[in-house]
Amino acid sequence: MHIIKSGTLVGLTAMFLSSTAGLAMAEPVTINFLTAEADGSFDAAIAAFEAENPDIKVNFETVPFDSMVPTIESRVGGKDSSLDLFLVDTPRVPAMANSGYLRDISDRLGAVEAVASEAAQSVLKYNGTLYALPLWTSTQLMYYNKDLFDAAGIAYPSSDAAARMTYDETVALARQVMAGSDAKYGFVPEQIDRYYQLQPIFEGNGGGTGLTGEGNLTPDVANDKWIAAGKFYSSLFEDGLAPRGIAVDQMQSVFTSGETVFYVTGPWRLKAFDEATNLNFGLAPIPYWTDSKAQTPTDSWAVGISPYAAHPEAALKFAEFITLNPAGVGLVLESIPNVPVNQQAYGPYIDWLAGENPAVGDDLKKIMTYELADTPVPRPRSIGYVAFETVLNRAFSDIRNGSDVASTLQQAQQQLGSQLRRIQ
Amino acid sequence: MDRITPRQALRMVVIAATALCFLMPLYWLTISALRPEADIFRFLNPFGPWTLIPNQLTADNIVGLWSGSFSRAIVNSIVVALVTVIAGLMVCASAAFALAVIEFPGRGVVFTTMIVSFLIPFDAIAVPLYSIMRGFNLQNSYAGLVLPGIGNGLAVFLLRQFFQGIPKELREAAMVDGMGWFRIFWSIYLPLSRPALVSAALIMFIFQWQAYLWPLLIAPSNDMKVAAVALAQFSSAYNVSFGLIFAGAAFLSLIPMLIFVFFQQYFTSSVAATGSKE
Repeated sequence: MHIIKSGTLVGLTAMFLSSTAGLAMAEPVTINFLTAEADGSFDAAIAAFEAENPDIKVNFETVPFDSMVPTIESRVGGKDSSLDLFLVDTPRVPAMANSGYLRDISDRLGAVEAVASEAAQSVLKYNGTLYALPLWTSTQLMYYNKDLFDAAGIAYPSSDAAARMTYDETVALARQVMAGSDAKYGFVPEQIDRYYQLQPIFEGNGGGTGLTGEGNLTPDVANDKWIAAGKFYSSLFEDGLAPRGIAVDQMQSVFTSGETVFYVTGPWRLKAFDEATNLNFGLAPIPYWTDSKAQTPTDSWAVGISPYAAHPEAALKFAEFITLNPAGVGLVLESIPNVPVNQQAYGPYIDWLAGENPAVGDDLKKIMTYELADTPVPRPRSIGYVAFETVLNRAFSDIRNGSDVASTLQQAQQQLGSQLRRIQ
Repeated sequence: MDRITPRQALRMVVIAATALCFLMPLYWLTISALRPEADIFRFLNPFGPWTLIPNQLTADNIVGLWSGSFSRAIVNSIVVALVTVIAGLMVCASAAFALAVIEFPGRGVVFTTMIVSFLIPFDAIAVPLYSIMRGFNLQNSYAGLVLPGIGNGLAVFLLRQFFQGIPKELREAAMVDGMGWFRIFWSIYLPLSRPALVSAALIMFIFQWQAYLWPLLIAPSNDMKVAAVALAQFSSAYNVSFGLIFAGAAFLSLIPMLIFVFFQQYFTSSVAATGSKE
């Protein structure tokens, strides 16, 4: 009797479970996708994905850019199952993977290898495991003000990579243009106290990335080459070639106002510069150091899946759509025209971008295609990257504001030594 | 008519200059909201007349501000702040009354715990609190946004100090007349404590109006965003809309400013009278 009752109970339970499972399958699942992009920027891609996958709904969540990392760390760190996938800053992949904030997606490695270069793949991995899918990459361009060159009666710099100027030549040319025109500044890197953009000045001088040793956990930011690069960087502000007291966010106004000879930033500023009144600009490759190989900043955002996602398979399906599927990549690029990592999407992208900026289109295509293929140098791969970047950015800011270069870098070296030892 | 002495004139000049220094950020905020975006930082260096006098005015920033999701965020902020003030006053005034008037064992410990609680930065408890709220399924809800603002230790402290200043003869007389604790609280203490209640309400309003980290965590949905978060979103990874940021900041400053101006007399008299035994 007891067995019969138990058997009936098991049968009823099985029927109940199977019926609820049927209901669950019929109900579309909703995945939550966190970004720092503007409202609506993924709408076209989401609509196309949902049309192809009626059983999955994508809820787009956006937070302010500066709050993106703390938000992810708080929510994933708190094992929040309502966060399924999010954008990841690629230099942070090792630290996030090491903290258990990213799901292992190594089974998708073959699909990634089919669309991304080896260098682009390397920034998505940690200890040989794939943790993110490739979305965007980046490069830098040197914009120059044609009107200031005309006023000074000096020929424009070349857009050919073969005729790339050194840092010393660039500064000398900027001084000449300043002397012959009403230019206020000569050479301004936009992200004036961030490692991302200053890496070619410091590492490009032959002094290394700033991190060495096993796992890149030993600082090396006070060697002779770094100090020499720091003195060059300091002289830009000391000599009035670049401004003090202007925040990174406000920096572009020194170029749009027509008062700067050379301005280094990414292709994402093209639209703003194109719309600026009375700004006539051209493009050249960013400078390099004599006796060193040219290098350009690279990397951008990738897509990661939370290890605590309520719907990891659905999240991965959407992530693949916007990163690996050229149609999905193209739909995202319509609203966020960043450089796609997906090589199949790059051709149509660069043609479109050149067409959108006809005045500089040919030079743009030539420089970007060359730099992305031949000169990109990723930021160092380390679980201590966040501490490294934070300390160095502060040191760059101090140098910019007039602190002694050698002592500032030695202080940074000490701080990093103690912080990275703790991480080790 | 008395002549102004040089000393008085000097004092007036110093006062006027000080007032000007305080007004300058507000003036800068306002003109930046009304300037074309390209002009906002254009005339900063060298400092000249066009730094402070806009040579071109535009309503683009104001129009742009209201054409997006910012208006929804403002409504959310107002709802959250008002509900917090109403519910918070009920809870905090009741707690303060109990701590000030009713003698019960452990009263001092409870009061000390409350004082310590408002000294702990909210950011330190935000993440564990978020886990608890998520357990109650309060993500993307007004309840999730409002609840942490209701029990405000500083408001309890202010109200308790004020209640202690009310002569105990009043409640003793009321008790003789047969009033219970609730009637004494409702009919005697609350009407006499209007300045302190206004002050506590302002504290709670400002707490919610400028809240950032908590709404960011608990209400990530676009429909539930509050104004402070929506304002920060005008700065994205690749673009910063300074025109919209200044217009939004001007509007977000205006509302608490109007409230402060309207309730100023209560606020100052409350702060002055808090803790008075007279």
